[in-house]
Amino acid sequence: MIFGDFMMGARSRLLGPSIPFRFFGAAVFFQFAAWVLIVVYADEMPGFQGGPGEMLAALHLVTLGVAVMTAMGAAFQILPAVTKRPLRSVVACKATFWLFFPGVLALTHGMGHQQLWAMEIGGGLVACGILLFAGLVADNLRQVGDMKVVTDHLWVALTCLLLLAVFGLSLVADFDYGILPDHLGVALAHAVVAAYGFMGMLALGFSFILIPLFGLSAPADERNGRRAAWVITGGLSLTVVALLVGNSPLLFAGAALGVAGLGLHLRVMAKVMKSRMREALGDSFVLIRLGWVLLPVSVGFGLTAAAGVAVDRTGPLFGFILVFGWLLSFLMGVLQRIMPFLASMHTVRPGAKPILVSSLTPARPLRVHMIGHLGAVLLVAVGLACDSGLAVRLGAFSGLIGSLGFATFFANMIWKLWRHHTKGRKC
Amino acid sequence: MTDYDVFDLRPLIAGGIDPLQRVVEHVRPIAAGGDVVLVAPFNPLPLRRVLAQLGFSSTADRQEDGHWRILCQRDGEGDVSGTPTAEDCKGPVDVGAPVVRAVDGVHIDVRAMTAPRPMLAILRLCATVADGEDIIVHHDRDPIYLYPELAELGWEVEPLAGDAGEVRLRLHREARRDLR
Repeated sequence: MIFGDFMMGARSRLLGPSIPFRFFGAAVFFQFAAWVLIVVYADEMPGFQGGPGEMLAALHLVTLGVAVMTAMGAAFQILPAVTKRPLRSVVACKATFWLFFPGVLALTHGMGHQQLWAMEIGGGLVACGILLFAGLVADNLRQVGDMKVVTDHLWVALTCLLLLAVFGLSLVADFDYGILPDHLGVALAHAVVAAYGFMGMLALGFSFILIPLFGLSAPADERNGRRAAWVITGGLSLTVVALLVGNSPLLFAGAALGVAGLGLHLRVMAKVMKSRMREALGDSFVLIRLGWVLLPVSVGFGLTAAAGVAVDRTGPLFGFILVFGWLLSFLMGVLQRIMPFLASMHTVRPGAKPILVSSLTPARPLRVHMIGHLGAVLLVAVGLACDSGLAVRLGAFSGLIGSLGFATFFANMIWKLWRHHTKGRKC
Repeated sequence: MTDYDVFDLRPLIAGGIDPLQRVVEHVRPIAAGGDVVLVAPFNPLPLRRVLAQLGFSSTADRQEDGHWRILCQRDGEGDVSGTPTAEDCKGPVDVGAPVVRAVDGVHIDVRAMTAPRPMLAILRLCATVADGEDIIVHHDRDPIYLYPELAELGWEVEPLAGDAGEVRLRLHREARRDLR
């Protein structure tokens, strides 16, 4: 394939592979680490209602370590190509990683070992990394006139990110200084803003680019996509206010509005999927579809817990389905599609054949990951519903094997990418 | 008998020139109610759809010698009538972008289309052209997301000199593979 200088215009907007792949590699590592923690401390998961400990650490390994890491890597790589504007500073992108990665390590270590100093240092580093990321993305989005459906979602996500940092730091400070009148209300608002607001809106927003790209589909219905974004935002706002002031009717109204918005979003996505050119979507879309199904299910568990029905079971189920069912399933599905695609794109250069996406997507490790993940979601959910530490441990073990499958897939891809670049340099 | 403004596209197409831009420039000054006749070696259905967006209704008639006369009238309706079968078109099937067949290959113009439409149109065209037939893409940006898909389908890409602000690519099939 001969690609001349004409690629350079696009290349100048495209960050080198080391930047997105360091974030993706960290996400792969943190997924593994989260399942290890749950295998070891499985007995603590049934009935878990929050508070420092290994389960809180495992939750944050997935939300911050997997979800936010993936979001950062994908945003830094995809956003400049979509907005046709380069990111302001490559050094700032690298700095985001070097603040955020040790921050997640320190924060989750502090949570697991109940060491406040580690939580404070980790929380501070995480907040700095997140703020730097938010600044870079906001700067890139500032002058974008088109792609309103994507930018609407991203602006909401960034706003939630700021709220998230404020809530998160307040919660950490509250462990030490007792500054919050209602720690649980703020913790729940923090969870909702993080999972549905920041990571949810980021995932839903990027879906308008990624799902048509993966399926080779017609573009999504922008008008209904934007309506969905604003209905979800309305629902989120009501829910957060309700949690902070402890108003149940407002909480149910917010959840209902949120679910209506999600329904609209999923209808738009269903239409996109129907118009696709690519027939076989592979295992990745089993996970993406699972995530779509479990997203409204998580709201259902949240409401059931809020209504006071079997809180010791529905509460942990809400957290697990939200974080591992919706977020982790969806993101792992996206990651296994986007990583080989981006890796192949980075091997396009004059006079050399690029590595084919199919050669970077070995079926066996990904099948191991999918089966492991599905088994984990099912068994852990059963364990939480039946208050069985054994079922949770078996499920976590299944997830651990799955995460090893995913790590094998990632290592194979990096090896091939490195070999291709080394060969290219020699030529 | 009405004296029509006749624009013969055959010399342009035979010379490997994409007629779309020329036609758009030609019809732009035509006032409401005005008309033009296009003459082409095949029925340029995608081109007629572009003209429909500019307010031209068009009717296509195949002549005895095999070429096509397309009467376009700026009536604001944008109807595309006299649409023949795909076989009559003698060109690739409709891919959602203007396509013309010329001596150097099948030209597709995806300029001014919003993502991901250009990629879809090009990949649809790749799936429909005959083996050995090249595709010339007229784009307004580097289609970086397209390259992995083209490589996967067995297409080679070669950059060509284009107009100012244009990215022009020649796609050549080196092997036939299906979408995965």
